[in-house]
Amino acid sequence: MHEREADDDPRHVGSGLKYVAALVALLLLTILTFGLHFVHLGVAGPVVALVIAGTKVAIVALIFMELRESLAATRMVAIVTVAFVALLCFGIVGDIAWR
Amino acid sequence: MSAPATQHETADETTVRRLGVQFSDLAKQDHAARFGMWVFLASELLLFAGLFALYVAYRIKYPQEFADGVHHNALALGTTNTFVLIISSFTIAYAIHMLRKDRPRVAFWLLITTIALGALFLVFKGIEYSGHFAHGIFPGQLYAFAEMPTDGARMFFTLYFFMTGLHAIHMIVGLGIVIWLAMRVWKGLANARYHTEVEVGALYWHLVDGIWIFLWPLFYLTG
Repeated sequence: MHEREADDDPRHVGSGLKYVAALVALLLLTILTFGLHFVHLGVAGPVVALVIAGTKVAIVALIFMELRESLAATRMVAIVTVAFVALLCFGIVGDIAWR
Repeated sequence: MSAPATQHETADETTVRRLGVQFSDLAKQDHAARFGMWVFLASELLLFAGLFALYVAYRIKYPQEFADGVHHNALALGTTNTFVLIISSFTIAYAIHMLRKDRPRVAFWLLITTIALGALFLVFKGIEYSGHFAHGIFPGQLYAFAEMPTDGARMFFTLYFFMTGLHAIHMIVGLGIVIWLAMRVWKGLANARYHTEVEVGALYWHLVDGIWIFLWPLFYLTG
């Protein structure tokens, strides 16, 4: 168990630069998504937008929600949940597409 | 019952005051709190997953109506709200960082900023909803938008109201939590030594942000 062992001592807390870097990355990805909205990508458009959205959520989870520093059990909860949601959505797409 | 905290409490006094009887130490209690919150967030995500699955199914069934519906939504308001929520996620994450740095006043004002941004999001959402209502765009059987009278359009806007409405309810709950957290930081009850409740509350706020990150392209961009 090594999850933020140094929390009790303010001297051991990092600079906080990772939060600023995450914010900049999120804002840039949002601008990119908005810009791509005006480019005609056909059926790939929604896929690209959702892939960027997934990347943004991963940044939020890993940096802001500190999943990267969390216990393996906590990371497992996040991974299994995302897998179940993906299974549900892709299952429906597959069912309708090949019906 | 736990005794009230004081500004000059020692680490041992903090442990005695905070520790639940079922835990051997504060670290295990904190891990359990964070883990429990993640399990709760998982259940919340699965609640939204049902609606996302419905969106996928009906988008495949009514592709043109969904694309037209996306074009009708207020892109400027939706995009502004995306920036608002992302910045609010940063401010609450940085508030925790400031608490760990033993700068509770900065943390408090970052939480107040988070609250203000959350309120701004709801104001913009209210403006957007009122614009829809003025055009006769309501969910389900109440739908009366003459420009798009098809079943597919009605389904698009019904899902829009359900998903963004459920998200807005989560925003309101999140705002209540962050207001409570700000009060605890202001009173010194959450501080550099102990701030697990702020961490756990922030996890909920980030979930609300994460859901919106997906709602934005689905309802405003992918036309």
